[in-house]
Amino acid sequence: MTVVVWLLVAVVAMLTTLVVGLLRSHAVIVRALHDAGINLDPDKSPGVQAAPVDLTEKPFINLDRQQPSAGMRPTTEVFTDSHPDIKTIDGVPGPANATRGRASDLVGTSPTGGSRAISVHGNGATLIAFLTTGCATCAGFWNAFTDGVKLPANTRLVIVTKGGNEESPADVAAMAPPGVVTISSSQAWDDYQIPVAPYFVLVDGKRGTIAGEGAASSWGLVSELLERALADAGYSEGQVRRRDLLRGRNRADRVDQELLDAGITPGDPRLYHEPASLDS
Amino acid sequence: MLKMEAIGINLGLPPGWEAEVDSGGGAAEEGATTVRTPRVHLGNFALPPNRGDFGSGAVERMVSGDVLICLLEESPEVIGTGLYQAGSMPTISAKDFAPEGMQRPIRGQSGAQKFFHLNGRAFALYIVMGSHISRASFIPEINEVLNAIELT
Repeated sequence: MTVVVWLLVAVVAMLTTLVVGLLRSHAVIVRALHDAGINLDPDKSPGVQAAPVDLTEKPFINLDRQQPSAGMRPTTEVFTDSHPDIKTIDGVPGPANATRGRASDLVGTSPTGGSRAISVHGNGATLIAFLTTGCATCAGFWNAFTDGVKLPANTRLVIVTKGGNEESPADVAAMAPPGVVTISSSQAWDDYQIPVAPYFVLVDGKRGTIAGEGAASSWGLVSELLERALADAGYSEGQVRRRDLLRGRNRADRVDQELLDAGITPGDPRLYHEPASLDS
Repeated sequence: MLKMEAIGINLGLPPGWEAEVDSGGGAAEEGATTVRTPRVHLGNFALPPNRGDFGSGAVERMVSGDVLICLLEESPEVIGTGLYQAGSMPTISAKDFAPEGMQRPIRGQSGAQKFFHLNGRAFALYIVMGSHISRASFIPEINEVLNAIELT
């Protein structure tokens, strides 16, 4: 009997030590998260406080995750498939960093006054240019887009200004380049937490994630770094990922793109020629 | 499902779909096609900024797997007359599509047209399939998009 009692005492002592250890460990983790700027209080949102951006630095864009620089808000887990799909019940906020790097579709107003929803998910990439009608640096981009810029294959450009309460719809309509999708959406600026204009966000449509983001002072700089970022994401012109090639994935898209590059559009009579005879 | 609403038309868009609802009669940007009547364009591909009511400007870019839905509002006076007899949102099937159903024929593509009225509003529904051959596989998604449209 005495042995059993001592055994129970020992077990209780071990469990007590374990619980105390877990509580201390939990406290250390919570303190570390707090020090890192992550607030776990579900009543306070957003859970992640954006890192301060030094706007005194020379504007630049850096879409290369290997070389983060000052002035660029870092995006984590870029070009990876590691984003967990975490869902919580109604009323319970998701983990603080669950949406970091996730891309949101765009809903806003078109220059003609219509309502517009734009999907950034799909086989291609979307470069979202957050511009204002008033800033001097933005004026260079409005002009460049009106004159026409060369975009990498499988990439489209979408211009997003703030909504009607913060931008003049008439000014946006006057400056919107005819061939570029332009919308006004303050919600998009909030969703992507845009710190400054002009600002660019590159969305990897296949993964639905933000592949890179940053500010830039000229289109030339954006274009150069865009090419590199897209190459990393497997969007480069003519580049086909080995896995996609072996599985025949996106074969139809690749064939369509090659035909379009050759100037052959749907309905082109050359698509319906009889194959040439080998004997002739 | 992405939600949007304008001029009494509520849309629910599956992933990858986008849309534009235009009230019509508004000033268009230079080079754009003026929208004369209220219209809705929905597509599972990147809709270009300038499009005609029946999708010109977009259909030329459509490839296999692309679907464009045009919903064009007509005057309520046509309700119950001629083509506008049906009083509910149409359901689409593969046999509704034909190359001859295109407003402007494009080889390989096909179109379907339906006319209906709902809640005192009359609409022409025009759907373009990027590939006539593979149309059957897109019918469920098209009907999902149509069923999510609410007209008030």
